[in-house]
Amino acid sequence: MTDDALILEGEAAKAFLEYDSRDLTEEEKESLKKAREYYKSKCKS
Amino acid sequence: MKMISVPWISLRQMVRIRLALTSLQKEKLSNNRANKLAVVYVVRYNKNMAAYFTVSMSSINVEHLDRKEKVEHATPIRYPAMLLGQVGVDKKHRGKGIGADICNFCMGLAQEVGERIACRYIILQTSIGKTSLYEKMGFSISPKPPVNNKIWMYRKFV
Repeated sequence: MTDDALILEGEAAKAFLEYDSRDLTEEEKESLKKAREYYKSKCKS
Repeated sequence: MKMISVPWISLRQMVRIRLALTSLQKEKLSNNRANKLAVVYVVRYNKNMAAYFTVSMSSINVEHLDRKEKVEHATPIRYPAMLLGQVGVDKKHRGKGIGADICNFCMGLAQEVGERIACRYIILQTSIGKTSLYEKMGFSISPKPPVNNKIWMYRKFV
C-alpha cells in the first residue's frame, strides 16, 4: 500500500530543494537518455 | 526477451501468474484502473507474464522555509511527478533485471509525458531495506521519516 503524493516539510523539504536546485551530472543525463531510448523501443501503444 | 505490454490484463490473469498479491492490493488495482487513477503495465518474459507495475500522476509538495525567520503560513510548492506505484515481480523471474527494466521504462515514459504535461520527477515508496535497486537506478532517498516502514524516493530528469 502506498500514499499517492509526497508532502515534504522541515529538513526533508530542505534536502529536496537542495537536490532540485542542482544540475544533472553527465552520468545522470546519459542514463536518462538511455532510459528514454529504452522506453521508445518497448512502448507498444 | 522481455516485452512490456500496454495495459490491461485481468486480475484473474495476475492471480494465475502468482504475483503474491494480497486481496487488498487486488482490490486497489482493480479500483484504480476502473476509476482511471492508475495504469497497470505488464512485463512478459519469453511470452510469459513475469511482472506488473502501476503508474499515475502525482506531485511532490514542499513548504518553502525562510532560513532566517519562521514562516507561519508557508505556501506549499507543487512539483509534478509520475508515481511508480505498485511493482510486483514473479519469484521465478527475479534476478533477471526486470526491476531495472521497469525503472528505465518508467523514466523514459515520464520524460515523454513531460514533453506534453509538466512532469519533473518520478517518485516511489518502498520498504526500508529494499532501496538498493532504486539507488542503483539513480533515485535518492528522502529523509522524510518512514511511515509503516515505507520511505519515499525520487529522481528528477531536468
